[in-house]
Amino acid sequence: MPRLHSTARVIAMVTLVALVQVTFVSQVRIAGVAPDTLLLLSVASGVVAGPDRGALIGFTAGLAYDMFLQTPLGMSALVYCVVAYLVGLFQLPLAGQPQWWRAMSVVGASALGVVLWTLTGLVLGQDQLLGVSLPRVVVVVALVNGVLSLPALGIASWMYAPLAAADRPLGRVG
Amino acid sequence: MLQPSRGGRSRYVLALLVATSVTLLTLDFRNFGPLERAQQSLREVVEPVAGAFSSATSPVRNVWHGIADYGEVKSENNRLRDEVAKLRASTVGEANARDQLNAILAQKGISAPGGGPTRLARVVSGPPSNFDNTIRIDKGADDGVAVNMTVVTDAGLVGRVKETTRNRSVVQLADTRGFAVGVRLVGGNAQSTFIARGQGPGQPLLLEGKIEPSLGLQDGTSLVTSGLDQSLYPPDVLVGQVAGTGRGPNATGAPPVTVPGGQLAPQQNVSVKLFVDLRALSYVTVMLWQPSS
Repeated sequence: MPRLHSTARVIAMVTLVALVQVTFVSQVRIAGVAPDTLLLLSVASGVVAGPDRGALIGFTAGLAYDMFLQTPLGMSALVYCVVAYLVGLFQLPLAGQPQWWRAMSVVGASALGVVLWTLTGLVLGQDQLLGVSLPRVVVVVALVNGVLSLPALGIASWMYAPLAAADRPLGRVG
Repeated sequence: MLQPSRGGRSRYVLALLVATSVTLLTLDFRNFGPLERAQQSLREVVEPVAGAFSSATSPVRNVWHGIADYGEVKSENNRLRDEVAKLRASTVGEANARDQLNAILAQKGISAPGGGPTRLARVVSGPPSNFDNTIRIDKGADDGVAVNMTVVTDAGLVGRVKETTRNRSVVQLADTRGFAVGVRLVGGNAQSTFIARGQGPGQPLLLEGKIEPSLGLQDGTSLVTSGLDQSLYPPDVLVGQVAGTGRGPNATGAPPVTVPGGQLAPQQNVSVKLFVDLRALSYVTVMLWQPSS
């Protein structure tokens, strides 16, 4: 039951964030660059819930984004799931670190996500990506995601709260 | 707090997700029919919801643009006031010239440029990501819009329809890197045609190849679509103005290069500034014209 509850929250949140990203956030430009809230949600999930659950959210969020983009279907899903996995893996030895450390992880992972996404696109022959200033996109997306990291981490915790509640008794035994 | 899992299971999950992504990519590259239909169906369901969401959030977006672009909007407003005053003065002369042109075209049995059927469409959203240079319009296949149709405003070329659903279309903008359009000089030799190629969002197009000085290309020279055989665009659609050649009365950029002997050298990488401001589109017109092949 907690798993079902958590899955429903994940689906609802990914759908909502995808709609907000495509219709609103993508039109709100800072220095000509739009924030990437789906990447933020993926990375925050990796930080909060670990590599495997983060990868799953990253895949779902990326696939939802792919539905609206002109780039090949599966490209964002691939990159977002790998980035969320990596940031989740990186968090494991640092589980007791303070909140600002998590925010910094979100900044770094977001920058990595944009770079990986562009490189993957170029490998897949998406030459139009060369027309955009990559350093500017990396900086703006990473900084905005850093600023929004606290609410994003809160949302990611909320999505997995039912599972966390179910985990608690086992934690006491261990 | 949730206890993150690690080890063999998480590697297995990642491998499964990567394999699924790669499979989707492969199917997409191979234009796998069922996947395309599923994607199309999903978009048809989601696009109206996204459109409604976009309309609901437009006041907030407008407030943001008002704050972020205030200085730019103010100076543009002043510039446009000057331009309107000049245009008012030239309207009478233009109307007269247009009447004469229409009379001559009718006499010779030639259809007026851009005279085919068109469909007015509202721009419902801009590019959905930083690397996507497209807009969404509220007209689709049900309105006669099809892939590769030319999209314009009164000012000139906007782009080309890239994808359609029943009631929405995706338009690729003309400044997308790699976007190519055949052009010719207004008032120049009809045989002197070039390819203008997009360099990226917000950047001018570049004319490909060497341009001989005898053509008299200079800053401010206007370009229209050539409309030659196999062209994706109908003829005589306004595209843009040449800029940065260092030639002409209002020249900008480096001075013209000369070869030994004092003659002008052929020009390369000539910039073309689009007439249309692609970042400020509200309504566009789809020309219901399709390439011959």
